[in-house]
Amino acid sequence: MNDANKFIIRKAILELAKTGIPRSTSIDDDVRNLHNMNSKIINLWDYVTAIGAQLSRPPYDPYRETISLNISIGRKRHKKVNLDIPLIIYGNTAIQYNSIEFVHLALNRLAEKGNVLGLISEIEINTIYDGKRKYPLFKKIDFSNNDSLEDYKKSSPEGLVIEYKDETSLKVLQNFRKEFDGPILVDVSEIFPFHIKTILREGADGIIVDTEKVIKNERYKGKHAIAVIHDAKNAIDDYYKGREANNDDYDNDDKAILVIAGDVNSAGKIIKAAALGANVIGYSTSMLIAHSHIYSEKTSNASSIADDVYSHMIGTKGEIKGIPAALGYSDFHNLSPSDLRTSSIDASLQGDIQLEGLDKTYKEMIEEIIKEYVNDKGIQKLDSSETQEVLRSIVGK
Amino acid sequence: MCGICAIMMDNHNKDFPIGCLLYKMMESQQIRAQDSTGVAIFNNGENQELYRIDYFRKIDGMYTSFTEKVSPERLDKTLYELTQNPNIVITSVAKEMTLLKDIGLVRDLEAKYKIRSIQGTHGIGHLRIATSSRVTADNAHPFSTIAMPDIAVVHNGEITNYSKLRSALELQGHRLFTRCDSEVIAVFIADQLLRHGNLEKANYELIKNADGPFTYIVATPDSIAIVRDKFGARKCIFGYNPGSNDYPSFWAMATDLSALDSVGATFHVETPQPGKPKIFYRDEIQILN
Amino acid sequence: MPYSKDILDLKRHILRAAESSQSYFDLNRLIVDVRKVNDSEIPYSGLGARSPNDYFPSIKIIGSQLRTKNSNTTTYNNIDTAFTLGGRYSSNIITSEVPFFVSGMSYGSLKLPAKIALHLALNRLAKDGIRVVMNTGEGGALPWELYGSKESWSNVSKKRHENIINYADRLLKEHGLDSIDRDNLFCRLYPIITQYASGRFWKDPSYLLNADGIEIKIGQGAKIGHGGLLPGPKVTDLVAENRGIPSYKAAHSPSRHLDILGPEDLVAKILELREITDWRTPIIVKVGCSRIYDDIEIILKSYADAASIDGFVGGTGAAPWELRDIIGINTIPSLKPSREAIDNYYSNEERDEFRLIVHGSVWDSERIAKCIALGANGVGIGTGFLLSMGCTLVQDCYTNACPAGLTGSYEKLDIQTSVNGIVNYVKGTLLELKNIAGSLGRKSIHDLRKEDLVATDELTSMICGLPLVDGQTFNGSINEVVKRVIDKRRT
Repeated sequence: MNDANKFIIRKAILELAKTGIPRSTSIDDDVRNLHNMNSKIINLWDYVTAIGAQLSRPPYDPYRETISLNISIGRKRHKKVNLDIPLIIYGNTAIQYNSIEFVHLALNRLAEKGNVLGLISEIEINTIYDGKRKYPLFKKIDFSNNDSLEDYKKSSPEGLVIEYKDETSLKVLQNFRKEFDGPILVDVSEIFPFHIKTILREGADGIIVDTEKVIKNERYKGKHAIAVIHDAKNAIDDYYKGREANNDDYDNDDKAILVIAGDVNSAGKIIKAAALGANVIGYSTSMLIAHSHIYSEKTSNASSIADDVYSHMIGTKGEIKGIPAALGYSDFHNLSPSDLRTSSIDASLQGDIQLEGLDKTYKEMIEEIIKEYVNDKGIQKLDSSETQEVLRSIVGK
Repeated sequence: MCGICAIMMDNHNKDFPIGCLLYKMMESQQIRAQDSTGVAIFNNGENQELYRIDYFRKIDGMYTSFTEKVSPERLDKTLYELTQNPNIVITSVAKEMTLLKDIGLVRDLEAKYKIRSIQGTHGIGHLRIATSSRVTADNAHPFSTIAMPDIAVVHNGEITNYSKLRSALELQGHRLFTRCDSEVIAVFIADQLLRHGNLEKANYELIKNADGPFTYIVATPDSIAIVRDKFGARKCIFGYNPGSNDYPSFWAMATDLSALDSVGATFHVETPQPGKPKIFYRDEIQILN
Repeated sequence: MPYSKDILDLKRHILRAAESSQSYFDLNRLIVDVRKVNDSEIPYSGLGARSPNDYFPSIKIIGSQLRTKNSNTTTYNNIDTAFTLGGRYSSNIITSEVPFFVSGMSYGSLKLPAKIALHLALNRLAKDGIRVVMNTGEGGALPWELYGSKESWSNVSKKRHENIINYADRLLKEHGLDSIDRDNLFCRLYPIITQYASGRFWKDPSYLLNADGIEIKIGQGAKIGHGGLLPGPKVTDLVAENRGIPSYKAAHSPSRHLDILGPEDLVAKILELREITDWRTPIIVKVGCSRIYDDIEIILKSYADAASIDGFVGGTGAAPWELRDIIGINTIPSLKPSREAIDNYYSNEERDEFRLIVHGSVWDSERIAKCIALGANGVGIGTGFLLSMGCTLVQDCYTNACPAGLTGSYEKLDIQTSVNGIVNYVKGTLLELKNIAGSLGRKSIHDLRKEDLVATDELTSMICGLPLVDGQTFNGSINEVVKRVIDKRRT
């Protein structure tokens, strides 16, 4: 029910209930007029839904069956980092400095209760807050300092994050890969969608894509996070494509992960991003909640703020367990693009998502119609460039 | 989906028409499912030298089955040619296996292929009620694969993350012919066997990677494995018939107890533990005394 | 609003923090995050999901009118609007004079005065010759719904009789409705359908035996893959007694029937219910819209008389907020696959015995007409009936603080006004339906066809298989482009 439509619906039914006399216009007429007047602000996330389990597959029950959220970060040969919840707290720098202390406390509390999730931070985690760190830290490398690995080892991080900017970043990656025994994630937002194969070949354990940064690039102008996640997933798949089944190098463990940050700030979006291909979500809402206390009139102590962040994470954990269960999965990481449907042509084009009720993507629909037409007329099949041309002229309009 | 069953004769006994036993078990479970039927029977002594390729050709929406026998040298070439045709669905590549399936009831299959008279050391059978893919002959069980010969799977339940497994297998270059989730099991097991050849490990890998409520039986030339998902959501039981003077002894597996009853396999009745494959080997003496 | 000052304060701070950090944030969802902070529970919400595109406004009925010149009556009195259900396997058939009915809303999620208003209103309508079917919802039915006729008492022991009357007395007393005339109350003139849901909230066989129809609820559109849910504060002693559960503890139904895992189990369950009811009672299977073609195909094979589908926007008393807003597909896109599944099943024979009932985002006559034209046989309406009783759509149904007195604060509800509202709503909608069918020159509302509809956008045209407003079809416009490309090839 759209907020704007609520008024129309209520007015129409109340009118009927009061008089019992047929109305002059229907709800749909009124909604249509309203839409013609207002230009709609569209967020494509809202147009994407998942299809649940009913008769053709039974749903799991998060209260009765264990739903697994675990993920292990790291490819073969190196030390791995295990997370109980596939979230890494990833705040932007502006809010990180003020609120990192509270998040640190909250993450420690979460880890004590068996809910380990990660933190990406540029800041030294000062251990005076609450003794030892109990959660994995991914230290973000600050290029401007020109630091060596020894400097980063001081805070003994479990993982590293390199922001890929240019060729020198590749050198840094190669150097750190030789010396560092642990997962190295590479933030490719600046150069997306290029160089991903190279980065993975050099031994990166995963790539981080900040969708908000990417859609500011010229190449992704006007596109949505859906398109970015979809392309990032394809880029990783491309790297693995065609590897021989009995190749020693290939193993199920050798899977580079995809971390998606930016514009994924609710349980629903986490599920949608995961279905599109994200393995871990960079989640900043907790950071924001911690940060918001700076604006609070009442003076809160660090412990109660950490409690707030803790509560929020536990609630979110419940949600991201419940939704895969309702889709028939006992493991969060089994979500796939085939679980998604959309009610928007744009979303279907950007993320290759099937249209609801048709169970085909918009592109597949068009290709099918072309095929039918060609068969009917008995003419020669369209080659790929011609198909592209048809698609372009239809989508373009 | 469905009712499944299997027979494993003791001591490599291949002179008994186990098709008859499978038929009895399937008939007693017919109430569970009526869409389609199929069996795979192993080591019946036929075509040991030549490979036998069974396939369906789709003509005007109808599926007609064809069989081709080829020498080992020509196998790859023939398979390549067949896979180029989008209207051909290869159901099995076999040396020691006979795989027969069609839509309809078990008595329809009997009328068409005389399955009751087929001999062998072990075999599996399946009755299907469709959940997610259409009722056509190519979607009937047992499923096999062209990745390696002589492997057959019957499945009861759903692999909910099948599209994820499928795309991972396709990424490695495997060819799948149907949209049925059960085909993924066959290809996945074959893929694992090609890597390390250990059936038990292959099954553990599948339990780890597959989601949803399922029970399946996978048959290879020398063994049958019966597997339930980690929650044990789908039932399946096995029992032993000790035989008598002129009647052989064998293990039977089925979805319903009534099926075990129908072939007298009512000794040592047990259910496999959830998440732990139970494997019966052809050449092993299964039970002493 | 039920939110405490603390929560709203926190919300304000987060809003400000979000602005200052310049990070994008969905402001609509802020309250969800804040509520998680407050109690670390999964936030709930009421009614249906926010669907940005439910397709209905993009479909037009060509040349239909809601109102005729003389607006008080209809000039189309002879239009057939009747709806029947059952007869495929059941010996009884439910008949109703309208093609829509009250979808499942239980006592517990609705407070007693609202349930009584519905009961009295449907009785009054039945006296006027308009029988409307009511679904009792997942909770146990109320005494006067199950024992609304003389015959229904015939097999009841004296002791049980006393218990039932005693329970009814306590119900009425607690809600300050002691003055209601019992004879009037214990009289049901309309058919009821009871819901056989995974919670099994019923205590005696009369729940199945006295019902005119049984609906096996596999899922509902608001929370597909999630069991029924009644938050603790709403499970008062009397609700708990009716359902046979502990009071003031949240009632979480399992997300699936623990004995229905697949199609063969559904067959067994329906046969069991058939035996219990002596093959008399029609049986419906209700699913939320997701893999709808497969689900309908299974229902068709399973001895059911009808399938009931519930779209994305379908309402509920309480559902996890995020789960409600992410799972499910809309009502309109699920109509075509459902109809296709039914038509394919009956492709070899001309039979019209299986009914398709549609729920979710259907509120007024035009939407009912669109559903019927697209292949539905009947339509279930929940929120529409609540609106006619004064629902304000604030979606706080999961609390005890309903501003209209429907799902909480029941003292606010005036039963008499509500009864009038419902009666007018049903009669008005019926008149409108007759006008729509009549102005198109049809004899029956069920004669509406796809040909009466056009789509105003491309997606709706694809999904419903309708022509566009300008007479074009989606296929046609693509074919033209292809032709152009091929022509270029020749030159």
